[in-house]
Amino acid sequence: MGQFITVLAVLLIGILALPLSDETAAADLSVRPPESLQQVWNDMMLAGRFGRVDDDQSTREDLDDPLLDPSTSLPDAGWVFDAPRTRWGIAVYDLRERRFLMSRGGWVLEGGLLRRIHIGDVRIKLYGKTIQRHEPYWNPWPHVYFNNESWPFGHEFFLLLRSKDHDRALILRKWVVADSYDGYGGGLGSSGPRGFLEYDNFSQRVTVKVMHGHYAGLFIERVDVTDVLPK
Amino acid sequence: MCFPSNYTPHPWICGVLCAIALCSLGATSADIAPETTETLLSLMNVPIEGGTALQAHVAEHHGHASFEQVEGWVNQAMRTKESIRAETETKKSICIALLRRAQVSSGRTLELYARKWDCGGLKPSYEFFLFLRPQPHAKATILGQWEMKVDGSGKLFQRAFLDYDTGLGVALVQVTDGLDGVLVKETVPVLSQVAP
Repeated sequence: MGQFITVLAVLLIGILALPLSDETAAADLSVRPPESLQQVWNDMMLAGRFGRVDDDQSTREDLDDPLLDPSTSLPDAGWVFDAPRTRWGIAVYDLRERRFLMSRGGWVLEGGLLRRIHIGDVRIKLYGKTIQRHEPYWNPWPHVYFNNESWPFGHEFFLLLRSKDHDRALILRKWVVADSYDGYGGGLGSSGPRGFLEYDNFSQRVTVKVMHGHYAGLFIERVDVTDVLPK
Repeated sequence: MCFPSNYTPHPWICGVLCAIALCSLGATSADIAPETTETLLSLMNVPIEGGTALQAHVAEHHGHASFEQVEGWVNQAMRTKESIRAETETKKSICIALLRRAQVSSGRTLELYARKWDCGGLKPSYEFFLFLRPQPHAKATILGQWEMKVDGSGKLFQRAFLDYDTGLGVALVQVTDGLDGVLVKETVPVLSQVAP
């Protein structure tokens, strides 16, 4: 009996010694998603491949249909959170991080192709990615979780040009959108950002617009593509 | 959890330990030290109007980007480390964020802040403040203040710029909208405000 109480006390003291979530978050301010994970996601984007990678293993591969277009095939296109549920989604999961009793921590990079426009033989594409941090959690019994928290680290948007002559696309511009979750509804929330892409034939400029929902703009930028389009 | 049937000794020890452990694990909400918010507000010298800040949360709690990374985009700046969100007694939400910083002379800096009323609402209003801070963490003096209502799609994308002209000793404050329309373009004398 004494042993049982000792084990229980050690366990509880161990739990008490664990950092609280806000302490963890504060310590994590310097933590960034591993470069290798970012590389996997970015390589899929540049190669025009779609699917899902779990812990370095490809678990799903989707084929792009050039006849379909995310801008027109979806009733409500452009949402980054929605992209992984389409054939144009890219999801990279790595949840192998452990901390004492807790496990399933790590990073999730999700997003995909949001919009594309055809200009002659080339295609201009807008990709969006959400980087999400998952804290390791303890799941001692079914449906009982401790420290099960995840929060958005940020979002990235890429403007790409893909031509028939090249296997890999060319990144024209990249934007980083800040996000935070303060447990108070202050973050971008579950819907996250939404991207828009327009091309003005006259000025040969592409307008990239990223909004939070329908009412708050995150950035808008006009990119001159004159030099990269075939003459 | 199964306890042995002959479990009798000191059940209150386990009970107390369990209670402490559960209380500790339960304290996961974003409890922010009030002095952090108070300090930031007082450093900005911007009074919270319409009530006191009841539940101020510092956005840096889970925010990672610094204001420099968001390049003056106002709505993004509200999610950086240098931003706060507060709610007044009248349940009005306020977001305050540092947008730009410019060096005047050694230690002296200009800071451009935005204050957004009704942060998550459909009709937010914005105020911009230009501060001159004589030293880091010292109280700042206000050099300029601009107020505007959101109207039209272009104004959803507000972006602020701040430059300091060393030769003339003036600050140039500019706020643009999504259509590159200029909402604010003002030159503010700085040198005359600086004590020799």
